[in-house]
Amino acid sequence: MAIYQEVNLTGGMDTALISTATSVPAFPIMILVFVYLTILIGGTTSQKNKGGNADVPMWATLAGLGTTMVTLVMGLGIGLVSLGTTSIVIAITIMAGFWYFLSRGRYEQ
Amino acid sequence: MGQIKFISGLLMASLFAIALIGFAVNFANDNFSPVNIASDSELTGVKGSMEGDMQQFYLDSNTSSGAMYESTISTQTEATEGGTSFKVGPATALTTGNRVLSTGFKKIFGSDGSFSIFLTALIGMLGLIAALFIWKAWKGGQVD
Repeated sequence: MAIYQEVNLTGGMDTALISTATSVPAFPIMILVFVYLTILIGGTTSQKNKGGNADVPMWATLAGLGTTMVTLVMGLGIGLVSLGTTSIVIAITIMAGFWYFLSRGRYEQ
Repeated sequence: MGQIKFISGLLMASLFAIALIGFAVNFANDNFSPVNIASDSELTGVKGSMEGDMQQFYLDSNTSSGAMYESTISTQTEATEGGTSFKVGPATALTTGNRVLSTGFKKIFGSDGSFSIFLTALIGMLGLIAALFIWKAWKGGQVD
């Protein structure tokens, strides 16, 4: 017995996403977490490899902005994400922005 | 982090929050999205309050800048009466800065009032920074 109803993979990407989200409500949130961490970890690691230092507040803000865009798009149509999820993503981005704007530069005292 | 950088950072962070919430609301309205951040009373309330804070900041910085330009000190060692030689330059430059900002802003965003809070906050910050520069240079502090 399958733990959730199998999705129809022949109806296109959107059908597969909607079917999966219907069966597993946490699926859209997992996608958002994946997008956020991919940008954050990928950006900081790449910058650290090239320059020796990573600007974590900047990448946290960029990851938040990227995730916000994905969240807003996922809210279209039937709405894969809820209002609460969208609000939390925006709140995290705002906090990352505060962190970024109040963070010191590399050589700043 | 100096006083000017701290105030600028806080101001930019507030403008960032206002812009983000405003963008999310307008995105949902333009695309008829069922998930509209305008339905979240807390976020929209915070946006309205922060816009009010920016307006108040503009008024306060205008008041403090005006008081700074009109203030005088008595003649003493290494200080001239009124200190006008320090105050004229930034005051004139501030007016020019306002004109440049207003022109660019209106050409890019139009005369629509939805983004006017940014211009208001930036001009307020410009006035405050000019006054702080004068004051700090005058009293011998570190200008940053």
